[in-house]
Amino acid sequence: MTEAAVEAEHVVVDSVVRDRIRVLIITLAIAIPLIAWTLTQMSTLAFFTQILNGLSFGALLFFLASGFTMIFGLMRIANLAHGGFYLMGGYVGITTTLVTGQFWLGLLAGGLVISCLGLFVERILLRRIRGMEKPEVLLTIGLTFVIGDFSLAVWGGDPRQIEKPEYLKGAFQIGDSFFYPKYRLFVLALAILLGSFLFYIDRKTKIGAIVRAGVDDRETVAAMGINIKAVFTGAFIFGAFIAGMSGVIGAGFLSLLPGEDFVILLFALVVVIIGGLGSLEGAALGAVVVGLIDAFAKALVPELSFFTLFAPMAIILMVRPNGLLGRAS
Amino acid sequence: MNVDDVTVRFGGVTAVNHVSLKVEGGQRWAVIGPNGAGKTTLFRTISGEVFPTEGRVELFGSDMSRAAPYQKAQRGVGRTYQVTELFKELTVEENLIIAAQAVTKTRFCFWAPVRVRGEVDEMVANALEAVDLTSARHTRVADMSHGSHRQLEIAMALSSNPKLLLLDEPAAGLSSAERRMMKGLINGLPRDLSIVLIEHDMDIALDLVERVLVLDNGSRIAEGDPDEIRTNQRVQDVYLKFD
Amino acid sequence: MSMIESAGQARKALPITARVQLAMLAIALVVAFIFPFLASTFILRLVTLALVSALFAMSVDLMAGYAGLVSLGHAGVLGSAMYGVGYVASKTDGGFALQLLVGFAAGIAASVIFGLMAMRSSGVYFILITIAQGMIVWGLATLLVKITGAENGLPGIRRPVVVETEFRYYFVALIVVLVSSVGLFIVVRSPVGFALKGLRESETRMRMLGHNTTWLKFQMFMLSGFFATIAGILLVYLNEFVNPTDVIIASSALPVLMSILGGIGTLIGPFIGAFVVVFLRNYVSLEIDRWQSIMGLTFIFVVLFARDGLIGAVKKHWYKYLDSKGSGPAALAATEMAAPPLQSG
Repeated sequence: MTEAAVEAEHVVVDSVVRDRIRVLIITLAIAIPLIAWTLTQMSTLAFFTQILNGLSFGALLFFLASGFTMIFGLMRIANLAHGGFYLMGGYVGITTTLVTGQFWLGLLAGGLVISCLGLFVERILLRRIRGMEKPEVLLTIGLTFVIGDFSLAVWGGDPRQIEKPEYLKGAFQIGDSFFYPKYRLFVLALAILLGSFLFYIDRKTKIGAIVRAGVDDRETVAAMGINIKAVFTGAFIFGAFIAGMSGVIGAGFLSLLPGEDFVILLFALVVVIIGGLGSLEGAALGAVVVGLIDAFAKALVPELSFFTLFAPMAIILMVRPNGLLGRAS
Repeated sequence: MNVDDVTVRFGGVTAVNHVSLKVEGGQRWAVIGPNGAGKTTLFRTISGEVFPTEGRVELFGSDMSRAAPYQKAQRGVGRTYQVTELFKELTVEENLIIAAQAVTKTRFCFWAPVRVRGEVDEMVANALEAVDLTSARHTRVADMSHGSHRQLEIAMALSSNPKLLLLDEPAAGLSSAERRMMKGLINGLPRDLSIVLIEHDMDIALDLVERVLVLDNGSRIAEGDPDEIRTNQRVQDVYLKFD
Repeated sequence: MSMIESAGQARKALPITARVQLAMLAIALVVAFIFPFLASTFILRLVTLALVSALFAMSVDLMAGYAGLVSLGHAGVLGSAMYGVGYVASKTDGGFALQLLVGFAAGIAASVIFGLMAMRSSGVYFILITIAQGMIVWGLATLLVKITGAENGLPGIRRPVVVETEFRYYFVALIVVLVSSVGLFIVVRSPVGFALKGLRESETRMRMLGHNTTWLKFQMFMLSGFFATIAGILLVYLNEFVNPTDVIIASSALPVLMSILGGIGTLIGPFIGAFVVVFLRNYVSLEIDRWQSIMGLTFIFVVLFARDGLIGAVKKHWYKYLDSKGSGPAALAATEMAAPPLQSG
């Protein structure tokens, strides 16, 4: 690399960093007064409880959004069936746990069954319309209706929760007077684990490089000795696996019921719209932001809790149409 | 138009490096150079698809370095594409109507059919005549030959009555007979229209213009009238290296 | 070949198609005005619903078919208008005029907000944003108990006494939908309609030609929202009720399905699609209680195998028939191409 190119690279990195710093400053400028106001509304203890609530819900959203965003980054497919995958995965997990009595088996079963479904969807359905953005999206939304109706037929319309193992039940004590559900902390830990794993793949492996390049150049990819079709299928199955698993995880602290597929899809969409489609950091940032907004809104202005999602999304879209960390199109 | 000391960088690559280009009204320029010399990026900077990292782009007397493409087009910049980008599912006429109405007030109109708008009709007819496509007026673009696409590409740029026309390799992919035709067509455009032409093929480019700018690796290596360029040693070297 | 000749040929080809179209339109109109005297109230209600759905589907197709920007949240606009009417009727003692006014204002306000949010995006991002918009209206409908009545919805919405019966309301809906269709017909043939088609084909090219595509998309949202609002007002008086199921995502997906099924990018396509879907839904629901699956499977089938819809299929065969008689578009194109302008010049 020539000296000029190195210098140019620095300039670009600088401009990205400057851009990120600007995002951070604006976020803080909005967040700090909001936090101050919130603190006048509730006790410090309640405040921290809500922070943890927000982060653990954000963790669940990150499971969904990361898979969604990864599939989009790699294949340019916006898989709306992700919500359906979540719901059905959760139901499968609940049934498996009921039968075997093992939470972990339920988790695995939820992921695996949905992976198989993902394999079918990618190989049999989506492959026929590869590269056609809009038909792909419409197909996945049709699929969500079918999955939702199938789940209703099999598991019925009542809210369902999963039986948690003993060691994840009850509350964890911090200090003298602060108690917090163990299960939610477990979800948070799991998300950090998955996040680190995904960031490792994204940054350090060939597949990550392909995902970040957005597969602009298939020939180069082929020349690297990578079977791109296999990578696509693999990524789709992996995304489906996380979605199915996250349904089981979600069944531990939220309820599963018909319609929840679209609700969770909405949250996941807001996460990727705010964070920026196709960006893993965007999914992480968006998940934290949406999780926190939702937790505090539910505590303070429950009737408006959907609107509180709408407003920041609207503002962000007007200022940054590609999301906070999205690439310019 | 005045491009003043413009530099454009993408990622780690400097695509255009401190290039200046001043086009007077009615002048015809060619920008030539081997593939990857930065010709197209320079074009994109002029038309507003890319903003210059450094330097200024002035159009018709005002600084428009950061103006959006549609604003520049409104001010009178027409541009064609190397890879024809036409509305393929529509007819020739529909393509031109969309192009022509962009610079008229009618583009805001949703309460009356297109046909009754006289001004646009005239612009469309003129553009069709200028490129000799009148007979194909109602043909769907997807059903036409590549040569006709090239003609329509120019008509699209012309139909908004531009003052400055940017032609990006207008003869790309044409047979030699078609190239001659295209040359005649460009030659026959109104003389008060300023033209900047990118062309890989030196013979075509040099016959059509008064001034030439030669780029290599994003930098200017020569500038002058066609005869000077033909005999310029550096230009020859650059071309020999690649051909 | 001179311009006059080619124009003459184009004119000769048009009347056959146009004459058939006009004849069919006339028959449809006659049937539309006569059949209510013969049909049962049940069928009449169903047809009224199909008409209103058709208007809604056309408003969605203006974006999805003409501009290529698929909205999966347009029930948010429709529903805002419905809730606007419903709120005045059910929670205040406002009269019919005020109900209409608030309904209109709510629908238009939703269009403005949606438009501002989505106007800078395109493609998949546009779809995702519109889904979120529609879902959030649903969320508000379920949570703002005092305004929307949540799951119980807003009862007590009544049509004006003059058009109280299903029979009379049918004619109201028919006339409003017809007038709106003419309006949409004018819009798609206007400069803005042409610009929308350009947007579908290539947004970058549109910008290079001098079109402010952001503004164009906002304009599109307002036009489409205007007609969706009318559909919403017709629908709320048809049902005399509104609840969150009117704004679930399925309600936004249905008009898209109707458009594709009938033929996306045309006005008659969504119209036909609406009738097919409304009747299918009704009769299938009588047999088995699995409408959602049927809808989902239809979506998948249509997207995989029939993206041109019914109109596309009819057009293909019609043009083939015309070509066989030597007056179809392919035959015309062939004669025009026989003297390629490049060589002739």
